[in-house]
Order: sequence, then C-alpha cells, then structure tokens
Amino acid sequence: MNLKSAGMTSSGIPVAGGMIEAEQMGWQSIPGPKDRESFFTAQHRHHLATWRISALCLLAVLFMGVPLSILTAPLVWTLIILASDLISIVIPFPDLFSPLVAFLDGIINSEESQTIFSRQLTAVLLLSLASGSLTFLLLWLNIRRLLFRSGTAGILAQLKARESDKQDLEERQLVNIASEIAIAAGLPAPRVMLFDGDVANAAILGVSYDDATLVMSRRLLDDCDRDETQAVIAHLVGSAGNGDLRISMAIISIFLVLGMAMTLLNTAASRESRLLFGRLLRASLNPRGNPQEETALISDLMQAESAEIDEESSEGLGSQLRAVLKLPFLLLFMSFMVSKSIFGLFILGPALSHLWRTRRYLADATAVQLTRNPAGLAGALQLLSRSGGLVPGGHSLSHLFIVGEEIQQARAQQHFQARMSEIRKDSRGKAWFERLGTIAQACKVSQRQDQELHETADQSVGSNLGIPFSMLPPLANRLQRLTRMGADTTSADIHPAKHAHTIWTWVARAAGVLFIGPIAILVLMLIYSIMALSTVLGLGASMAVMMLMLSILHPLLRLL
Amino acid sequence: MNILFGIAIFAGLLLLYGVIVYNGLVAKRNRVSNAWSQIDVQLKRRSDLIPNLVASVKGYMQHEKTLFDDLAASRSQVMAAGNNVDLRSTAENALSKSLGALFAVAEAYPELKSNQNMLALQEELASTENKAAFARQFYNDSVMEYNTACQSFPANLLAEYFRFTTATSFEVSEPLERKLPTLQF
Repeated sequence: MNLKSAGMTSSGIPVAGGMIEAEQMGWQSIPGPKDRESFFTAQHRHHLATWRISALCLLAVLFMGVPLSILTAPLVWTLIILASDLISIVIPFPDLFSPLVAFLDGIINSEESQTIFSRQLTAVLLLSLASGSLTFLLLWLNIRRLLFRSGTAGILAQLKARESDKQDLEERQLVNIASEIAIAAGLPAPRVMLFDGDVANAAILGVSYDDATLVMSRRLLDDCDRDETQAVIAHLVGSAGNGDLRISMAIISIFLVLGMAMTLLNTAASRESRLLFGRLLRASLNPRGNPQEETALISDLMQAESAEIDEESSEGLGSQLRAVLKLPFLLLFMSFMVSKSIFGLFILGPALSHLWRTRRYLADATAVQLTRNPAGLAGALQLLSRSGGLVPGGHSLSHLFIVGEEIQQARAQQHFQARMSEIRKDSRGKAWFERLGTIAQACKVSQRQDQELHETADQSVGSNLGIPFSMLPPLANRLQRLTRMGADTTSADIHPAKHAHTIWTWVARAAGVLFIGPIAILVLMLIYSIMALSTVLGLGASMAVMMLMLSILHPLLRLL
Repeated sequence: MNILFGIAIFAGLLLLYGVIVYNGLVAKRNRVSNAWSQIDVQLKRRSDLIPNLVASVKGYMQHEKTLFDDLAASRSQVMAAGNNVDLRSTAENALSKSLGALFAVAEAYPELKSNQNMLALQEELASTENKAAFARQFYNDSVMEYNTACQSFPANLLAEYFRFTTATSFEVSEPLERKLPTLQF
C-alpha cells in the first residue's frame, strides 16, 4: 500500500486526508471533542501558566510580608535586647542598644511624632521592615532545614505504610510498573510502599525526587487494571519529575513561617503556644533531629492559629495586672491574624491553590506523555471517584495525593442530587405540604453528610492553610482535559465539564474583565487599607509593649 | 565612550546567551546517548530472560519446535546487530514478534497458563518488554527535543558551528508494520 494513501506522510504522522479516506473505506472516526490538544501542547501551556502564577504568588508573598514584618519587628527587638541584657548579667559587656532605646524614647515623647508622616516614623517603619523581614527570612531558613531533615519517615509511619510483598503477584507488578514509568520519564526508580484500608488513593511523598516514596493503597491496586495502575503511577512520577515536590515544600514553608510567627506572638497569651514554641526551639537546636517528633511539630504548626487562649479568673490583683500586661500582646496577635487571614483568604490562598491546580493538570498531561494512553488515567480517575478520598494519617500532606477531599464533596453532591430527583419523582401528584416535608427531610440528611464531610475536609492541607476550597482541581475538569487529549469518557458516571468556545464565551469574558476588573481593584484597595489600619494599630500596640518592657526592664537589668 | 560601553555590554550578553545555548545543546545530546544506553540495558535484560522462559516452557510445549527455533534465531540476530541503530531495531522487532507468538500459543496450554512460575516469568517479560518500549519512547522524545533545539533559529547557527549533528530516532523499520491493518469480515 502506498504510504500517502494510508494517511501517513513519510515521517509517519497521520494527516487529515487519511481520515477521510478511512471513512470512505467504512471506518468510523473516533468520537471526541473538536478542539483536540496534544499532550505536548498541554504541557507547554501549563508550564507557561506556572511561571505566570508563580510570579503572582511571589508578589503576593512580598505584599503580605510588608505589614507582617513591620508588626513583628518591635517584639523581636525587645526580645533581643532583653536577652542580651540577661547574658550581660552572666558575662558583662557594654550596653549596645542604649542609643536605640534613647532614640525610640525620643520619638514617643517628641511632639512631631503626633503627625503621621513624620521623618522619625518613616525611620521606625523602615527599621521595623528591615529587621522584621530578616526575622522572617531566618524563620524560613530554619523551617526549611526542619522540613528537609524530617523527610518522609514520620508521615509514612502515620500512614502505616509497608514494604511491598515480593510473593504477591499484584504487588510485584506494582514495583515493576513503577520502574517502567521511571524509565519512561528518564528518572531513577522510586521507592514503592503500600498501605491498607478502605480508601483508595496514591501519592508520592518527599521533599525532592531523590528521597521520594511512592505510596499506593492496596484497595486502588486491587481495583485498577495494569493500564490504570500505570497511569496513576505516571501521574505521580511525572509530577515529582516536574519538580512539584519542591513547589509543595515552598507552599508549605510559607504557611509554616506564618504559623511560627503566630506561635511566637501568641506565647504571652496562650499556654498551648508556649509549649509549641518550646518544642520548636528544642527541635531547631537539636543537631540530629527526630523525624517523628518533627513531623508532629510541623503538622501542629500548620494549625497554630487554632491555639487556645488561656482562660483566667479576673479575681486578684496579680491576675488583673497580668491581663493588663497581656492586652498589648493580644492586640498585636489580633492584628497579625487580621492581616494574615485577609491575605490568605483573598490573595495568597487562591493564588497558591491555583498554582497547585495548574501543576495537577500538568502532571496529568505528563502522565499521558509517559504512557501515551489518556484512557488509562481517565479510567483510574473514574475508579477513584467511587472509592477515593482523604486517607487517614495523610492529612498533613493531603495535596500530594492524586485525589483528595474534592472527590468526597463531588460524591456527596451527586448523592444529594439523586435523592432530590427521587423525591421529585415520588411526590408527583401529592399535596404540596407533603412534598415540602420530604424535601426538608432530604435536606436534613444532606446536612448531616455535609457536616461529616467538613470534619474530614477540615484536616486537609488546604483548610489548614486557610484556603476554603480543595487544593486539587475538580475531577470533572481533569476529565475534560483528558478527553481533549483523546480519552473516551462517554460511558463515565462523572461527566467531564463542558468546554465550548463560542463568540458568547468571549463576550462574557470581556464583560467580566470590564466589570469585575475595577470592582476587584476596589476590593483590593479596601483590603489593603483595612490591613494598613490594622498594621498601624498593631504597631502601636507592639511599640507600647516594647517601650513598657524596655523602659522598666532594660535599666533594671543593666543595673544588676 | 558610551557607545563602546554599550557595545561591550551587548557583546557580553550575546556571549552569555551563546554559552547557555551551547550548554543546553550538550545536555540534550548527552541525554540522547544516555537514553540509548537505557534501551540497550532493557533489551539485554530481555535477551537474558529468554533462556529462562524457554527452559520453563519447553516441557509443556514439545510440539512447537519451530517457535523455539524462531526465538533462538532472532535472539542471535540481535546479538549480531551490535550497536547499529537500524539493524538493531529490525532484529529487536523480530524478537518481539517471536515472543508474542510464543505467548499466544502458550494460551492454548491450560496447565501452563495456571503455572505460578510461568505467570511470574510472564509478568517479568511483559514488564521488561514495557521497559524496552518506554526506554525507546524516552529515547525518541529526547531525540525530538534535541533535534528541535539543534534546528531552530538562532541555535542552529551555533549547532552547525560546533558540529551538533541531529540524532536518528528508533523506528519501526519493517514496512509491514507501517501498513494500516486490513480487516476481513
């Protein structure tokens, strides 16, 4: 047969003419979307998007860093000065900080500082900014060190992961598949472990590809055929090979730094925070480190904002004095919280989760590149939509799994919709109040489900980071992209999201940009002015604390 | 003076760009050669597994002598082909085909199908087959990336000057396999 007539150019690439001839020969064309996309194009698109969103995230971090470092700085200075005073009691050395204290005293007492834009205030702000950002940098370096040192041993123990059984054919196949895919990606084979339980899921855990461990639930391994297992592993290995583990570390470390700063600020008011801070100090000073303890510490730091504030009786002069002393600290903590939550909720959180979602789509496209089989991954995701979810013990790294709580949410929603349509069918022809009663009943059931769902979802990484939605993209969107790369999802029970570009989509987008753009800018300005206000208030409190402590304690300690 | 300074900066940037492009080309070329050696490793592993397979199967399949002869012949062809890309891919494809035929015939022997040893060996061979295929795919992807880098402007000027020649991809070289399959009803 002539190569041209078979729809092949000499380089072996099928061309459009061939399809027509194939149809004439009685061959049906494969059903699929019109806007097909090759996985190389998809990867390229997601790579570009990653750069764009990373730049946005960096900007967001810097913007958030400004008020937060200004807030933290005075307290840090106070601590440093007092610590140096304490040391000088043991080993005497000259008072280095007296000019600073005198300078600050001068500002507080001078007339000029009453106006907002005085030169001294600017100097104080700049000094605070510089020293505060240095503090955050040090905290960040420290947490990175802890993260890299603790590795995956702790989380693997929490998952109760075990080595694969060499005698078991399925598990042997899993190890084989992992090394096959590693070859396809041009990487060394990852370490493979399994965990048991009813939830189907899989993840690649680690701080970089070299120390990564691939974990898969036995349930998923049993449910999947060879192609689907291959696709799941290709998604995970491809993700790690693309450098997602490093991005994940960066995201986690940002939030851990905030957790550390909050713990530090809250030490005055909360016993829990004091204990946590003590553990942090011990872990940081310990030269060798204990992975179990460090993993527990890291997951506690992520939830630092939920630390309870001590409850005390307000009777007695001592406790009242203590309450007065604590007030500025509380004010400082509150304004830090306000800045952090506003930024986390509206800017940094969405930006980071958008970044992570883009990386998921990239990993899906990479999986297709490695296996050349989009149907495999689509099939595996379909399976996971039925039995997947958050894995007990894996909460602190739930974003590294192939699916997360969004599967459970989608399932609950589907269940609710099915129940509603059932009720609609049943209640046809009944009186309206009877109908209302059954609907109310259904709502109650779904509310209970929602509550259970929230309890599990509350422990996922997204919610710990103050992001109100899942870090992973909805399954329908992932299936839609896989369909575009050629997977057949016509028999799926979760339907891929519709994707149609008409002229109206563009009109709607333009309108969106025109109307939502200015509103978004206004909202951003509002947010920033609220933050500026809370920063100024917090700084006032913070300065008050500093002056109070310094003006009494510094001369006292120096006299000793 | 200012103009000279500008020219110096421009030349410096150009040199920097050249260095980056050159290093990128070298990295891509090395990846291609590494990918080739990966294929080699996997194919060698497959050749090594074949005697094991024959030993465990021969007892059951006394009457399929031609199959074993085919297998042995294509294996020795692979050994003879050495490092020549074209010859080697032809020989490897022939070996794949005889292996496939062996497994297809083995389906007809029930006691062989349920043999644990045979199942494990079959999984090993299937995995090795996959590994070879994936290594080939990785090789081809690396070749494509390298060739694209070599041929696109302006890197092609540098590539030509430093004699970066384009690499050949591992192809299915038998004309039979390129044909569309014809179905008979």
